[in-house]
Amino acid sequence: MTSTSFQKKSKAKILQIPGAKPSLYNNQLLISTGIPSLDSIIGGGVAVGTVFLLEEDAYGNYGRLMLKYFCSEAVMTGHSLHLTSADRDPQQILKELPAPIIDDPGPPPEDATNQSDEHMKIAWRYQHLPKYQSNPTSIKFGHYYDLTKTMDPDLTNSIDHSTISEADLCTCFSSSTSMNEKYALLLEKIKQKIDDGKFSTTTQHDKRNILRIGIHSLGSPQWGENGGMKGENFDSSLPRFLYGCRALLRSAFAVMMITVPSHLFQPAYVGRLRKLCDTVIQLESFAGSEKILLVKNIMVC
Amino acid sequence: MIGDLAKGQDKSNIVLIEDSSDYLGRGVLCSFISSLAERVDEVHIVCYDGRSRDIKSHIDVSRCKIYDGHSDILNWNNTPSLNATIDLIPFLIEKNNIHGNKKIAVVIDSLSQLILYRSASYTCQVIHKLAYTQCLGCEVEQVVCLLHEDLHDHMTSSLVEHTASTIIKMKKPSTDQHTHGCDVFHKKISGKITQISENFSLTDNFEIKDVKEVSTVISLQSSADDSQVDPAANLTFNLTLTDKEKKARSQVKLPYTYDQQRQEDTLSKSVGEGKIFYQPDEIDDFDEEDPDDDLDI
Repeated sequence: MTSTSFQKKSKAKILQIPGAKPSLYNNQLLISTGIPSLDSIIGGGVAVGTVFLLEEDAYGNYGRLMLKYFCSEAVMTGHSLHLTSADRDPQQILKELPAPIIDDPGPPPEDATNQSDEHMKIAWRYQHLPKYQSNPTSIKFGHYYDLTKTMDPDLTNSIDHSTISEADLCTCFSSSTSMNEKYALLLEKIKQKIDDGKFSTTTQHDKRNILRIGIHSLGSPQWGENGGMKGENFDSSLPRFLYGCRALLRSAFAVMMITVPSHLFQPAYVGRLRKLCDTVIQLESFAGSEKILLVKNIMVC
Repeated sequence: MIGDLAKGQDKSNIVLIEDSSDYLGRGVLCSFISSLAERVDEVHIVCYDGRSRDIKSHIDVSRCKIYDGHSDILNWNNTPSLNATIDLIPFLIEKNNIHGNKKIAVVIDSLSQLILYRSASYTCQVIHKLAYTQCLGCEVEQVVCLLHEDLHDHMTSSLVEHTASTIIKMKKPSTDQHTHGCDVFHKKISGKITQISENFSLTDNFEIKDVKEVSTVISLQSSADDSQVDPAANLTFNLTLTDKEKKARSQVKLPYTYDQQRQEDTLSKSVGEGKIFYQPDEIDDFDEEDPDDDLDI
């Protein structure tokens, strides 16, 4: 029997990872941000291997909330989670994750369908046609959450999660010359996590999973950041850190969501940060703004 | 609002009082100190400012510990007292033996020296650590800081404001009856933001009284009366149906619905029977008379 070197050209095999789907545009693997409506805005979801920058609103409440959704989605899809915060206790953030809304009603009872037949008047020619479900029920990608309830801690503990708090970042003595030592240490820890969890694309793994990396309020004063300034010049630590993150993630089954209090930086510096991330969303809230105060006062009288 | 904050009725971890040389905030700071002294076991007052020695002469300091950080602020004389070059938190731990079940408060007068000699981010880290981590070994009820806003650029004060949970900005009172005015900006733990502008007076004992909100309300002339007019009220025709009418309507057989009776009627009529319809033309000679009337049938 002779064999040829000829091979039928076929599509590259798409990886099947729970909670991920290929993009309709370019076959990139996407995961949900935890907010389905946001997913559709950014083209279906966040591409695996990219950095998602979220510019916080002035008081950070909504930025933190969106990060919580991102973490909740990790719990629901079984992804690994790596959460870092210098401003808050990351363990506390994990305790406050919103609970999912389980919207699977199960099989509908028989008599309910009969009743609906009686009530609906329909042209008799169409009556014998089979029924179609207008909306798909199998939502594996993106869940909805209830902010009034918190996630069951057992559920949160069911996934592989790790946190880095401010105290963990203080034990660093390595004097990195290229960037702020807290950033350097965090970058090192992320690299370690990717290696330990075998999330790198080069390592063989029969059961692939995705690592979600959340960093809360990166670049706040708690990181030793002086609003992006070092003396008279821009501090290049944060851009370097982002550059490093991107380089790391390109070869890993990981997604990074970073919230940054961008109102503390100069606009030119924020522009630099934006260029170093793959997806950027800027939040603006009405909380505390002059406009809403005005509106409120008008409503009162 | 400012009265409730000073008395501790509104909880806040980090209170920042921003003053300027025209509108001093030390009176409000004293008000916070005297209220804190009643609520907590110990008040630790860190003085980096030369003027803060006045605090001692004004209020009852029996439950307060005062650290002099201004007389040798750069440690030129090598005195063991506090100065801006040594870290505040280790210094406080060393000077005190604080037990776990105590409640304390820390007052810093003012942050400006710390920011100028160290950095804004360092200052923010210190107050954040004092307020949110139990780094002193016990619960810290509140951290109250004074900041001379006119000494710093906008960027620096926004960093400190970002860290604080309540910001009180001193300003000119809008009426003559009050001695002080301020803008209060309070971030609640729930995340709600309250912004209010108030006038108030301080008594000799640093009590805040006559708090009055400065309203920025824009009064709009509400157009006409708000009573909603029902558009379906005075119509010449009927839009609503009675129950009887609804029942009658539901029994109407619509042309597209399947009806056995109608189906059979149409089928039975069309089988084995024909009908001729005749429409006479204009030129047709149509006789009005019955042509057979002469016959006797």
